Amino acid sequence: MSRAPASESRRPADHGAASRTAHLVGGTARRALPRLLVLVLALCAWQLAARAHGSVYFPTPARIARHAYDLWFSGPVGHVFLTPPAVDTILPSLGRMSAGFVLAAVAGVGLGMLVGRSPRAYALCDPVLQFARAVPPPTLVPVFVVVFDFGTPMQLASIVFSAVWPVLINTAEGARDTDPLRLDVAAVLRLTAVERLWFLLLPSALPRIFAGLRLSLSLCLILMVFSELLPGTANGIGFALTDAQSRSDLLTVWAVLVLLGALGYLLNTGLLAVEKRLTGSRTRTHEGSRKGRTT
Amino acid sequence: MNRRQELTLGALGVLLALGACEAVGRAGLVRRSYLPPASEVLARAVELAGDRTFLDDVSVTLRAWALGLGIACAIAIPLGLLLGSVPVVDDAVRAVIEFLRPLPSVALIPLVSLLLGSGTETEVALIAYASIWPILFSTVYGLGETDPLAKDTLRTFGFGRLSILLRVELPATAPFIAVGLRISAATALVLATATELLSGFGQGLGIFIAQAQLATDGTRDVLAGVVWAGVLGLVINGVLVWGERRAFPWRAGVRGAVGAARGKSRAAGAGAPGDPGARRGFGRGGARRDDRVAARQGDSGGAAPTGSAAGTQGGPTGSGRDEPGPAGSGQDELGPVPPDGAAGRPPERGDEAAHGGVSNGCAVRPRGGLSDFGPVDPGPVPPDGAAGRPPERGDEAADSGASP
Repeated sequence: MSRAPASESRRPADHGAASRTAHLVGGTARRALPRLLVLVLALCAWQLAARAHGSVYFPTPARIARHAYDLWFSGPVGHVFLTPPAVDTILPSLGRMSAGFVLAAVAGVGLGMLVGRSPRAYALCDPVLQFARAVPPPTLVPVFVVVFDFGTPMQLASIVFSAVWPVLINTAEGARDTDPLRLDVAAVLRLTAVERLWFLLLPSALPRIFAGLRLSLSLCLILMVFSELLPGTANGIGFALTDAQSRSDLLTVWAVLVLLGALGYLLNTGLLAVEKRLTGSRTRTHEGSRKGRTT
Repeated sequence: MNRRQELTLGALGVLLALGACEAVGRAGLVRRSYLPPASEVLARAVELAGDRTFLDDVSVTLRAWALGLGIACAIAIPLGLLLGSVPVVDDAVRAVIEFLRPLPSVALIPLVSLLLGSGTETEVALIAYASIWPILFSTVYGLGETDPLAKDTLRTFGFGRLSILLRVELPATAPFIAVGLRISAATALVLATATELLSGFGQGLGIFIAQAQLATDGTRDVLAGVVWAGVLGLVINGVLVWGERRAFPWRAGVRGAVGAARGKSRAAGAGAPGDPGARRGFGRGGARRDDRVAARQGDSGGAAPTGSAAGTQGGPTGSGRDEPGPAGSGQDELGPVPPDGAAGRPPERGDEAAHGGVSNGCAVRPRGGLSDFGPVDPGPVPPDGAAGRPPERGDEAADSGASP
């Protein structure tokens, strides 16, 4: 795609860009501190309010953190500080989720490329894809329960089946939007189908693919938890959650929530880092202009 | 390929998919009671449409959905306006939000049902919680995308902060809010069904599915319920897209431009790849011709508001047309944020929106705000813009801001 004209159109703003960048570097540091401060303040307020109120339902953050530590992270050094319950709870969930995510990503990108390359194939599949995307994924879980019975295959199937659509549709759209001029160049250079896919189609669809992957990741997380919340599962984070709920053990419920929040945050950040690495300059431009906007 | 061919192929695709399901069901790969053939499921789905109790279930789910979404709007839009217009508050609250957002909302079901019991309150609360994020983030993003020229102009005329917010920023942000709302609507449906599936008693579409699952030979009913859930999702999405197009016609123009880009690409691919003049000509002609198609394509994703706005400016004149790359790519990212993906905390990257338009670092702003000045036709770019200079509104604003 023609990135050059865009940079030309940006040129008039360039005189301001340098000073803006300088301002940004100082700006991010200056802004990070108050944000952390506010977070700490919020935690303190929660701590004080919870202690003053003394409700069973809202334990203090300190107790939650302590409980999470005792529960999962006080293990021996040899096990990276993980306790046996952590190994039984967190690892199976993460394993299922990453397996589901990878499967969905591979299937989605592969099929998406196939569908997106040909206008006919796209027209053929579009209505079915739209419908598949519109079905709320949790409703399909009972179907998988019947077909696969409880256990890892069922959970994996639900994760893959709901996470594959965003990747598939976004990849297909991305492949469809490949600059025809570049396709012509590829034809002139007599690139083989594989070369064309690797050097032209994939790179140009990459931003779209990552937009799909981000959506898929959050769906994976949701479906992972949901499929474990159902009665009949034996391990996993969701199971820990329902188990604690049935014992009215609110401290554990809160600890699990914090754990899930942290996991979600880490996974998201990780995916963003990968995206930034792979798509490079483009993302940086976005970041730059976004920050420029907020300052 | 014209629209009719597309429709025919689409219908063919649906038939093929149904046929495949039917074949799998009848071939005996899995037990018949596990996976009934498509014809039986569809027949059951049609039958359910006349079933009183099932319709009651659906209406209960829809009521919870609407209530939760309404509450989310009532919280998220004012909060978004506040965050977007007062940087100090934004800084302060942002950190807290960043830590709340990645939490998968489904995980809150056990906690909230301990707190509120397993009734409608739980469902509504969860829906509201999950739906807040997309709306909130697109509101904040949309505010940042408001045309600074319009704001400066009003300021020059002596309007206060609040009236600028109401007269310029809110109308300009409305399309972004609408996109957030559409994403939220899908999320809300996911949460509604998920909560109902887990609670297992009472009324609702999810509860219908959960109970059908327990019955012997119930997969047919489960699948029929899933079909209706999918139809519900499609209808909601369709209605919202239609509403967006009615309410924000200037965005439809944008889509036209996006379509023009595509039309151009096709034309170029078919005919004269090298000749920019020819391509531009095609692009211009394509703008109107492809409008419908483009609108449809835009819908399929959840068109990027930014992309749209870009179109408004570049499209008809062809002046900004030469950079389908950045504009297009920006649109892409936001573009097809499929509503279901929204399921998660999609908006999550509500900043996705943020990524969207900013990519070309300029111009892409909805021009709704200007409408207060009288009939500004969003279609054709005003003469100065048409001068062939790529639309750098930021600059323009800066210039005019300096010397009003």
